[in-house]
Amino acid sequence: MVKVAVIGSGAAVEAHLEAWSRIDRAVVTGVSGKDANGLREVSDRGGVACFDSLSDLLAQADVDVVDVCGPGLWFREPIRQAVRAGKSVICEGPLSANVKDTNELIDLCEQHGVQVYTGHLLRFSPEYVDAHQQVENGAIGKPGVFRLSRSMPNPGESSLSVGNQDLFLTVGAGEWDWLRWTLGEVKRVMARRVKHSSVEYALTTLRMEDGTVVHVELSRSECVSESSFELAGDQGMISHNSNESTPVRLKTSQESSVGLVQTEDLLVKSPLQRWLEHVANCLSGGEKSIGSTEDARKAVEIAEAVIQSAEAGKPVSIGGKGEAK
Amino acid sequence: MKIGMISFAHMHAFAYAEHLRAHPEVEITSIWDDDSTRGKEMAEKYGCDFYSDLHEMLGTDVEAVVVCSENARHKDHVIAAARAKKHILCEKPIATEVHDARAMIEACEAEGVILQVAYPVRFARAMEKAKDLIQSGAIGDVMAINGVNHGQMPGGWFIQKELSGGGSATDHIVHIMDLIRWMLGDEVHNVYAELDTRFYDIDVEDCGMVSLELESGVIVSIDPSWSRPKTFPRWGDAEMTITGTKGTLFVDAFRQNAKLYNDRDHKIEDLPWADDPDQRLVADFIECVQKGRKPSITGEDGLRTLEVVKAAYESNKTGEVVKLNRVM
Repeated sequence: MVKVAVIGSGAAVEAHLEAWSRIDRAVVTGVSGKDANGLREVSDRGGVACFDSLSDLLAQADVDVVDVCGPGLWFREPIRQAVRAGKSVICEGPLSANVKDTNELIDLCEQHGVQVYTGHLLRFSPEYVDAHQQVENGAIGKPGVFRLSRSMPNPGESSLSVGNQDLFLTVGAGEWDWLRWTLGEVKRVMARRVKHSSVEYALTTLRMEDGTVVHVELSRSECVSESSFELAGDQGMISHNSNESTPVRLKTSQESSVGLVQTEDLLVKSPLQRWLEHVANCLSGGEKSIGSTEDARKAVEIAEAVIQSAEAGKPVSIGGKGEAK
Repeated sequence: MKIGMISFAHMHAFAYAEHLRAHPEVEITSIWDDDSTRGKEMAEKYGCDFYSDLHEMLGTDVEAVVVCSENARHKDHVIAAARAKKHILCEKPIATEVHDARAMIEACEAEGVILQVAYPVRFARAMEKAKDLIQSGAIGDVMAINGVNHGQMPGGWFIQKELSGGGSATDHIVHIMDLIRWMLGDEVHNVYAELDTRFYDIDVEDCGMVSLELESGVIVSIDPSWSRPKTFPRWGDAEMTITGTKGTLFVDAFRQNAKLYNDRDHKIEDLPWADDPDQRLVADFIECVQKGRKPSITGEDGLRTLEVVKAAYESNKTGEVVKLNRVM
């Protein structure tokens, strides 16, 4: 049985507790996080002990792995604390905001002989897994132009205190990883972004080492989450839009109440559960990890180049030195 | 009104000719084409005279001409028509070189004839509605536009650089660029582009991505790829997602369709039922000539969009962001 400590804030912790509760090989032995009140409620509901601090949790509970609910860059110190205490770490988003910090963290894990598992959540989302396999199997022939898009609701004031909210590191994290997983390394990027109070929006062009031209649209503004991809190759094209994959639609006589049942509710296992289950299987020795620390490092490297490009208003090469092309 | 057709090289000529024939106040009286077989066939179809000599055709009493020759020949044909005092509807792109476009605009101004560039997507009702919504402030101030104008690879002279000026970037950047200039009244500040040939074994680019910043700071992407598979239910698409400070607007010029599942030809087809933008473009041009008013889409509109195409080629070559230098 894998013993898990869950850290983070209210809603995210709740989603993780829910997922863990469905996984036979794991048990949550404690939670801790910043918003103590909301967390207490969540842990009570889940029947899990809630601790005032990570130190207390690690000292008093039996823990194999610490599950960080959110991007690692929000939880810099807790992650280090867990690693130093000899615990493995599960981290949903990118490990850190830049390659330097990420490398340090990976080194620290190696020193303490613990494992670190990062999100790669799209590698556990069925539509993205299938698209990846189709491309690999040659369904579209030679990849030509890939277009990906993801929008997420604005997190609002409450989450802003958590830390770095960079669109490229949070909303885009899964896309960078999926692109590398599917097409290989990125050669260069050109990004532009705009911000206005609660609206954040970015358009990024990537050129992969294999020559594929990629466009990624990221936004945090609208109230509904949406993701889409269109993968064009010389022998075909795969396209998908989350808002068009709506097999259950509810309409009632009340005003403006067209209810779309979200994809996650229409899966036997959510992508989060699939991923955590995989990690539990890795930790208990059965499975080889999908996605390595190198993958985690590379995803951050892409995000860092994209951020740099948007700031400079110029293309940025990855892996090479200096100017693009 | 008597109208002449200069070349049927561009397939839009067939649509324009049909709409001209259907127009109650218009008569196609003469056709010139360097391909005499095609020209004679068309002259027979429309019951008019075929000319193998352009100057002879321009010597007739036509009031206006529609130029649908290969891109690189627009310049000679437009200037010849202007000198013969004919009003001109010229297929896009206006030309293949910036200095050619400038010479065409100058010739038309000097001769006092109308030069309208054919950007029919402006006349798609969905686009007019989107423009109205933006200008009424429905999404606040525009911050970003994610645009696509995809198509299938047209082949023929479109992939011969000396006639077309280039591949998909020449063919498809200009429509979205024209819509953006028209909707926002803004100009391009700088351009970055990745262009390549990845779908077909041809000598011009067939795909790419163009990243722009407008003078106002609005950011833009345009995907001009000939990336639609042969099984795509229509020729291509023209769509924009426009993000503003208060909301997001999505617009697709060609989404008023029914769907045909065609067992006979083993394909799925979109059956459009929208008001035809080509028909409205032709009617607008005729009205413009009749009233002697300024054209809805000017030579300068053609020039400005061509400058962006040229900057995209330069950026793709140098790997740098290219700042636009507007001429005229």
